[in-house]
Amino acid sequence: MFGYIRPLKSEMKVKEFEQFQAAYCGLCHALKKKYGIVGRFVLNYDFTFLFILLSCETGVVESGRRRCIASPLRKKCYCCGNTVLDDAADKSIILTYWRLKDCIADESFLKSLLPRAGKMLLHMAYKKAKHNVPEFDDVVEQKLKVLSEIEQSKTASLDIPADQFAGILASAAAGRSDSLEKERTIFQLLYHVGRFIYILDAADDLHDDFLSGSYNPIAERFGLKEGKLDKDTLEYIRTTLTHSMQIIGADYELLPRGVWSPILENIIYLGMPFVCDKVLKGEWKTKKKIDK
Amino acid sequence: MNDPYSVLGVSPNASDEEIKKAYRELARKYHPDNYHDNPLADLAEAKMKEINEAYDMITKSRGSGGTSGGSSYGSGGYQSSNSSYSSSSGIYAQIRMAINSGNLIQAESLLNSVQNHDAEWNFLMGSVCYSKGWLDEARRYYQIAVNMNPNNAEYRQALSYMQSGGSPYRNTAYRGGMDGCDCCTSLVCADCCCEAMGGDLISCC
Repeated sequence: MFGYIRPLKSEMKVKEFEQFQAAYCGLCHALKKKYGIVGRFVLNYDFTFLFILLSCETGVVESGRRRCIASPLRKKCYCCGNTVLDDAADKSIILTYWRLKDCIADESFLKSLLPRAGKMLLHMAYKKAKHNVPEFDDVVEQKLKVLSEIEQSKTASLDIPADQFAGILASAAAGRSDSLEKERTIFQLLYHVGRFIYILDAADDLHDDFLSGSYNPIAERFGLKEGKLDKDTLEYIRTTLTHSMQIIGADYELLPRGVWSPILENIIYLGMPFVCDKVLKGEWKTKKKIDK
Repeated sequence: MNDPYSVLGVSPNASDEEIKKAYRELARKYHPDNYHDNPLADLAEAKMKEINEAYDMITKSRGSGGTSGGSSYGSGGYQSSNSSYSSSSGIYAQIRMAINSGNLIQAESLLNSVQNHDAEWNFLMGSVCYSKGWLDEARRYYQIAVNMNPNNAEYRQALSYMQSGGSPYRNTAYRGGMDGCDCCTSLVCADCCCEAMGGDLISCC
């Protein structure tokens, strides 16, 4: 979706990096297996995080090695044989499909051509995923509908729209854990991850939204007229995002430990603050281009 | 109960000093300050209790008599601020009770039934927002409460908590490891800078 939730690679041990890559490749293979080639296009870091978080308690990871289209010569390690992977794959398809639909509604006809094509390609996959996780699909559909109404009303509140988006992510916690406590914890954690993504994305898009005249929650909330953050607003946004990250960290500490803990800790304590800082400094979009 | 050593994450052969260190680390992590108005505060409290019991058990069995540290952590600032909740009267007392028991829907509907939006109303609305994860709204309500009654320490504390981005009230230097930029790191950085300039801040490195 956005790709904000990722580890800070430079702070990872080699084995952690390989493990993270195995999760990424594992999700990619699961998507390909279930949904064919089109499934692969929805893959990103946020969904990989979702998979890792949902399997936080795992003691051992089953894995294999194989070549793929992105690495045709060298075999790469990937996670497999895992029901959490299938679940994360289903939810990724649903989230991407609805997001594309949302884009189509928001954009002009010309700009919506690409999302339209994507949505058509994803249609069969979406139907299958909806069949696998119908409750999740219901929540996403309903919350996005409310979110779009809120956005159309150009509310001056930051939390009211963010709440809908955060609620979507939080609902991905449902039905995956053996214990109610764990489910509650993942729900709360994902809520704040969703809030973080929504607000950070608004900060990232502030200038583009200004140019295209689209709704931007930060611009509405702080009455920004020029499509950029002034010093005080920047500090305010930084503080509230830091607060969400503090809560994410506190919630994370209540989860049981497993093989994924070092990676989750890297993402939460290092990766997210890093990305947050880059976005707020306005360096994220250029950095992403360089990385690609 | 689980093995007390595994609760603290140390080996049974660990020295008293190592155990104390592990205990302090965990107690700091699960301290009520980090879970204030968090819907998962009950889980953190259970964790804290488990850690305290494990530490007490180990110190007792070793006869090192260090139990006093155990109880001092769990009963931190918030229990005391909770007690002030019950002292207020009427509907606000009910609302505080609803917030404390995690019943946010009830708290919100009670708040909506109050006509006069005074400082206390705004403060409680802020607390409800905070528990829902609506941090921006929470900060706005706390700000109104402080503007209306600048002398109330509870309101001021809540606002300054929001302004600090969730650093625990008591020690602002400690930020829960969020940015990896604690006091020591800063000192070492300062030392490196001084050394680069030809001076030295920490003589041993």
